[in-house]
Amino acid sequence: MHERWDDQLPFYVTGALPPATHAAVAQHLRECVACAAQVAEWQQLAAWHQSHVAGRMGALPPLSPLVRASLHRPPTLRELLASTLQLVWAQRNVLRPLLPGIVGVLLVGLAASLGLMNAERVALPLVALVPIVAALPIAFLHSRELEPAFEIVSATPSAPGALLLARLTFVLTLVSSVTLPGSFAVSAAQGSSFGPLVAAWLGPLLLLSALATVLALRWRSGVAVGVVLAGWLGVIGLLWLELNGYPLLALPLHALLQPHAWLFLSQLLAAGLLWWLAWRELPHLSTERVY
Amino acid sequence: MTEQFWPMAYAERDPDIVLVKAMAAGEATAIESLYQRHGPALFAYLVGQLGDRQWAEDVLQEVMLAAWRSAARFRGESTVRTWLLAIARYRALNARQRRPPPPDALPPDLPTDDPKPHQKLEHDAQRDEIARALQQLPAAQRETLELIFFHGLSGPEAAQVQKVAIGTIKSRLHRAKAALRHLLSKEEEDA
Repeated sequence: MHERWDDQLPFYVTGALPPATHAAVAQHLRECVACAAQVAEWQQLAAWHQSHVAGRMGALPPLSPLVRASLHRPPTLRELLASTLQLVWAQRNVLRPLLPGIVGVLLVGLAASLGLMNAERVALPLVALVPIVAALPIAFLHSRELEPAFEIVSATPSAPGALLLARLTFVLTLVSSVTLPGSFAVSAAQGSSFGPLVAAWLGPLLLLSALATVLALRWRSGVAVGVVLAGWLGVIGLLWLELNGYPLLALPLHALLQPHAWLFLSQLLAAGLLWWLAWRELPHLSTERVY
Repeated sequence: MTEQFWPMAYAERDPDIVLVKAMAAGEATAIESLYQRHGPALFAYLVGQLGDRQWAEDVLQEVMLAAWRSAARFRGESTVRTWLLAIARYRALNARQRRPPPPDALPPDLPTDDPKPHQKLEHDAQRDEIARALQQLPAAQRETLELIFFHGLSGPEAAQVQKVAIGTIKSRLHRAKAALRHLLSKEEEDA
């Protein structure tokens, strides 16, 4: 019975409860000795803590002349660059628990591509793994459910758009920094062209990342993860069947493995369109949803 | 465009919101007023986070400049106090990442050696005991206690500043209380 009130008591002591809840707790305290004793403990703790912190209070330093001088000065290019890089770099804290998994899956994809004897299918492991490995963290990053990992980024007084771009930049840079040199190694070892190999995973990577962002912002992270994962597994499954002589669609999905310029450009355009939709969504979002 | 984020009834009630709106409009006097209203609490928070008064003074200036530059983006979804504490927290974390605490810095959350009114009171010994016990708590629990009992934040506001779920705030409070009870009774036994 006390559990219902237990969590409210510290906030009752500080007066931070909504008036109706405060009144309900006060009413309960008239009848409940155990909760009244809890309140006395919280009051003691509050008094201790107030005097402890008050010990740090000194004379407030004046607002610095440097701050006053900076008020009407726009940030310099260096300051802007530094804060942008700092924001991008701060994303590693959010992704830290996922980093070994991301890099591990990318290395598995590269190793599989290196091991394939079939030159036509050399891009298959990268096409299957790289886009989803980028899109899933992006979907997760737009969630508050990863709260403990938001230790640093969360309190950034940044525009939601800047935060989104920082997250995208960090994930894409991370994925590309592993996959680009890996693709170079694969193309050198297999004798295949480097450009088409990169285009094979880069186009779907951008498209799927943009889709994950829109879904996570419009609905929620779980929806984005589910749709992106199911959708991409479906595409890869159909591609696998097609490559093994069981085409279920009229569309030639094997074009994904060696994309022509038009296919790559259309993937870029679709990704751009989705990003534009995500950008339009931002003003309607609560900051809570983005942070 | 910005107007949609400012619920008028709220703005009329809350002088802080009026000040942040004025800052967003470029009125330098507004930041002075906001500084007078929230500077002392932010300063105390930063001294607790950084353990060094001079360092906290420097970071406090950064906090105010960041608040000035972000004022136009403040949506009124939290109180100004919560927003400023969140900025202070972020700046303190950044400051600690940029450089380690100075060698003569106090451990975060310990009172300084400066003579303080509380040190002149009768219960100095008990206060020192409490300060020692508080110091033994995990930093996150100490910070939660401070946000709730000194800055007067509600549970959801403290969760917003520390960026944890509200359940985490509640469990930190209960754990901190239990740990303090244990630590203080142990000190009594030792004495």
